[in-house]
Amino acid sequence: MKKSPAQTIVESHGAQRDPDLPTFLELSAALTGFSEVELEGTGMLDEYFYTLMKEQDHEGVRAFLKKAGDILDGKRNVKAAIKAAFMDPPPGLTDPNPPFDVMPHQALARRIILLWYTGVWTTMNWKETKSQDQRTSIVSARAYEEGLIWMVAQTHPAGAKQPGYGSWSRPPLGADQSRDKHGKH
Amino acid sequence: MENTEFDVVIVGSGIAGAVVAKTLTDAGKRVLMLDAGLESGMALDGERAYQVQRKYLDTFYRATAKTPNSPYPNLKNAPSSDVIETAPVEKMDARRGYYVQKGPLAFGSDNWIGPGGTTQHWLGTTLRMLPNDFRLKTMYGRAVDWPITYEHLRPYYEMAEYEIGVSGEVSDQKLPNIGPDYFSPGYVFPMKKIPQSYLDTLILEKNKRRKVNISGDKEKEILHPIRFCSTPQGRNSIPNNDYRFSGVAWDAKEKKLYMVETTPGRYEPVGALWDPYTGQRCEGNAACVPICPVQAKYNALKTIKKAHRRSPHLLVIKSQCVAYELVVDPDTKLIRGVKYKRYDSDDSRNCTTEFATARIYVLAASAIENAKLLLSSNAANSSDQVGRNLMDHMCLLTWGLLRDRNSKPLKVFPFRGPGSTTNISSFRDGDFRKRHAAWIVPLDNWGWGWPAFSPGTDVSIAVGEGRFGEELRQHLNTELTCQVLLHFECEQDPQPENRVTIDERYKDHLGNYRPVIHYNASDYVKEAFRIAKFVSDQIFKKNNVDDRTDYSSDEADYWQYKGEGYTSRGAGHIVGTHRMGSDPKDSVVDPDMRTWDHENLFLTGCGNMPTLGTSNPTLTMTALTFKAAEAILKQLES
Ligand SMILES: Cc1cc2nc3c(=O)[nH]c(=O)nc-3n(C[C@H](O)[C@H](O)[C@H](O)COP(=O)(O)OP(=O)(O)OC[C@H]3O[C@@H](n4cnc5c(N)ncnc54)[C@H](O)[C@@H]3O)c2cc1C
Ligand code: SF4
Repeated sequence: MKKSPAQTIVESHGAQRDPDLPTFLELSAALTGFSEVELEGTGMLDEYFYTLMKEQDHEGVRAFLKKAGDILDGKRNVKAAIKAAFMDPPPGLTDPNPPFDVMPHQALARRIILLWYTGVWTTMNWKETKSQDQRTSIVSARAYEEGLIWMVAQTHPAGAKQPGYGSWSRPPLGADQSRDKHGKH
Repeated sequence: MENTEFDVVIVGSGIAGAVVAKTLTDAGKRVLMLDAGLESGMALDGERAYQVQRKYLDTFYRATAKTPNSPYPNLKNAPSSDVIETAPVEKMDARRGYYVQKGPLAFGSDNWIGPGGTTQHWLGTTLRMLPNDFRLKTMYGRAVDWPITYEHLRPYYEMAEYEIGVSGEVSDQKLPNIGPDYFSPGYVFPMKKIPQSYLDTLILEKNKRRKVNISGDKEKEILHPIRFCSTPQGRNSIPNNDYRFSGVAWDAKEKKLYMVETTPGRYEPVGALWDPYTGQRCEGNAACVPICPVQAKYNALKTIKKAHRRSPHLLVIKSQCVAYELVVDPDTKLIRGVKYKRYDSDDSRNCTTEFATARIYVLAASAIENAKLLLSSNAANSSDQVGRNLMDHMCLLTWGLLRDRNSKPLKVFPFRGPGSTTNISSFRDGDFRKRHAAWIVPLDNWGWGWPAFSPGTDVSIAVGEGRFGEELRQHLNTELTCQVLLHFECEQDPQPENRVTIDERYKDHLGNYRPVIHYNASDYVKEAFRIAKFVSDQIFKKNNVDDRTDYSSDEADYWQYKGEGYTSRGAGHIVGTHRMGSDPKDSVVDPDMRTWDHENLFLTGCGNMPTLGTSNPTLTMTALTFKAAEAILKQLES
């Protein structure tokens, strides 16, 4: 019986990691602006890679990662190459989740950024789900809590990792604010 | 024949129902509480309560739209309204959702049908109304006067503040036109004030001596001061050692409720249902709406739990019971019983029809549901006021990015702490109420979360613009840490045509009526929006706020007034559908909240309020509920 892509991942998990996983991590770092160590620190790497690999167009996803690998290994300016290959939208397109069949690579790159920042994934498995609403979900409670957005906003996820009584009356830890005098209590 | 099993049947387990249940059972009365929500959610203790909370939290974490009702089940058999359904009226399909919106504006506030009711997702702001709020007609020629005054209500406010567990600072409450007796001598709140946010302190420092023009006309100056005030709220902080009360009790001889005095310094914050040591202090989860993970915030199950602990044999709670009709005796006009449908599970329409009887009946199902039940029963409506005068605070939101004098980002670090810890109180009363509605301005601690779904949307927008990598990270950091949001929560005046009705064509899964809502803003409120926007523009300019306010014509409650467009938003303050008055001809209940038409039927909840003032209504409603409970006890013992 033919194995589903997801099964392959689960089985290869553990002793041997999927060879595309390091590429996924390196690309994620380039896309999010967070270092590989920071990303691994969230504990979400495997779940996110798995989320990506669950997409039905498995070949498409592998091709995308292959292309990312080539860019990351290449001698050219990696940032500029990523921008050209994955980020620059055709004029007029501002949809953060562009349709996959129109722009597969841009669509994937953007989804990966949103996934790391907010835990939200919009699946491209059109046939299984009906509306846009049903295609978009937060992949897990942990994904919500580990969203990079909270770190970027210098806070904690709303409803989790609470910083303690009165913490909000002072600037957050590591705030580079010259006016800290207001916050001293 | 009079039933002897229960003294009182209460419909609803929100704060109104809970306070009546506790006050009556404490006085030895036998109470049956019917609640429409799931049995499993009515968990008051230990592991069960903890599991319910975990389930709500997990649902919340996984919800893509974190709306007030997002953690909680929306039942087919007992549906809740949900703000997520709000859209321009002409675009709404009456077959979908819960409210049937007839417009012209969409009613944009929801509640939750379930154990503990809407206090599960309320914010917990607990301001008292102002003395002049009770006499708008006399003072300003607007709306109506209440049949009672602030002074009447003051002792009941103290009871409500005890029961909710309010944290606040009396000396900060420098409110317009309140006089020296606003608080009784030596009064303190049970707990010290919740620390004001870093953001508050920055804004307060920059604006505390500021005055703004409220004429609405650049050529003409009517200056009005901006005054800030820490916000009393129903979430736990450090107990105040000068607080001297330990409960509310019934004095059977004097026939009244009183506050039980004790040695000061004994107040104990009420913690989580599953563990009294959890939630002893607000821990800064910044998710009070829709769910406080540690239950430092008050919710009505805390009151029900106390009642149940103290008098388990006196309080019977029946869940999954949807009341749908009151049976009125045609001769005596007394209520003979409540019909309800008890469903097996939310997946099926299987239900049994049952009948509950007692000496006195109390509706505590929230303003819209109370009205719906009365209309379905053809009860209490000789004044034709049932369902009318539906009100809310109509909110004008203004938002932007704070900058310093050199237009550099000035970080205020929002998305931390309780939703709001400071408010601008100086527009809550004044002569301007002759011309336009008063308002309160809570400073919002959660960035642009409300109008723009920040911080999530900021990421989608930035990525949509093609940002990525280090640049994306930097960009989001400077945007998100500088976000400020003001709400101008305007007092809506009572309008008979803003109303809840029922219609045979619109029924829910169990065949019960869905509320049909007609709703609009009067010019009195629209003018308040115009002036509020004028004031906001001045505040933003003086504070170097890069204004990002945007009202778009495809939003649900977008309207134009005097050439400008505005979007109003609901505050969740559903008020006024069965108002109290001194005349049976134009009100539904008397000052004891007994219906004029049925001696043994009392109504509780915000529906009783003739006007709404500028305070979030629940504290006032809870004070009124203690007053109603007192009247019920009096009637039972007469
Ligand atoms: C987002 C949001 C924030 C808010 N923040 C604040 C705030 O900061 N301060 C403030 O003062 N107020 C606030 N409010 C308003 C506040 O939540 C309500 O005023 C208050 O909770 C109403 O309490 P209640 O007991 O009257 O009704 P609810 O809490 O709505 O309870 C109604 C109860 O009746 C039951 N019920 C309904 N119909 C039936 C039926 N047919 N049969 C049996 N049972 C039934 C329900 O299950 C529920 O238990 C907020 C509201 C919202 C939506
Ligand atoms: S800030 Fe957090 S801990 Fe405090 S009341 Fe809100 S949700 Fe609860």
